[in-house]
Amino acid sequence: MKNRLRVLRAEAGWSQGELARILGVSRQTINAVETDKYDPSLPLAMRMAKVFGVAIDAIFLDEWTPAENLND
Amino acid sequence: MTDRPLHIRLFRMFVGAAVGLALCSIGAATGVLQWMATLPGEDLASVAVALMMIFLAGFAALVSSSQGTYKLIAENYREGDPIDSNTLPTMRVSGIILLMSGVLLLVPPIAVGFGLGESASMAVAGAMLLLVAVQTWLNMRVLRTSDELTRAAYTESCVISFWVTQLGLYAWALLAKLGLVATVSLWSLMIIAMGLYLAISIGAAIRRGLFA
Repeated sequence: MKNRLRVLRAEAGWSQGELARILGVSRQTINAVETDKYDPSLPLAMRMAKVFGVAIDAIFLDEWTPAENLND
Repeated sequence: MTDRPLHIRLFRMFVGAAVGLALCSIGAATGVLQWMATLPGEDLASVAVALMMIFLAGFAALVSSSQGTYKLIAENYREGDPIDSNTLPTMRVSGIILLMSGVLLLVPPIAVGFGLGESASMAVAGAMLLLVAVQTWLNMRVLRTSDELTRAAYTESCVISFWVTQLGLYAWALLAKLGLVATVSLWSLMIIAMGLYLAISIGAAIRRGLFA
């Protein structure tokens, strides 16, 4: 899933290692999320949203939309 | 994928080929290759996979010997981050696990080659089972102390390995049952399963960026 983690991290002035320490994960995990190699778990995504003070969908970009006839 | 320049990647491939050639030359000079040529097919495969694991264990020991060496191998340290405190110890433990796997595959064919008696064979079996127990404990320890990325790669490796080996086993058993192919020994099946798991787990680790 595409995401804006690298942009948000750069705006906050943190390195991958610093963000990893704040979130309690490895630097490889941050790098893997930023390079779209790994979609984080929901708890980790929520922690990211809290750290940057934004909603989850401001970090992770999902293009899926429900079908138009959802209520038929 | 790595973001290193092409010439660096080509240079690394060249170094890898040179190391492989050097190891083969050493194997030929010491008679190891000639000895391997005399082994039955399944033992040859066992020794080959074992040597690959032992070589990877040595590589893990080399890479985890210092932060500088690790950064040379890892994909992405452009931001000057220090390495996480548990990265090098975890890699060392992984190297020990690989070494143990190599020994587990190497010793039984050699023991058979020596024509051991029943009591000596039982001693070897006991030692190997003890080694399996220690290796399992170390694997559990690595898994417990890892974060979600490592666990995801581990789970992915296990799932893919399960499906590949199950389908492969069924297909081979089906063909053997119908008399279309020869039956194979338990040791051959185990070697195939171990070799597949090794290849799949390395692939999953690279795909998920564990060497970043």
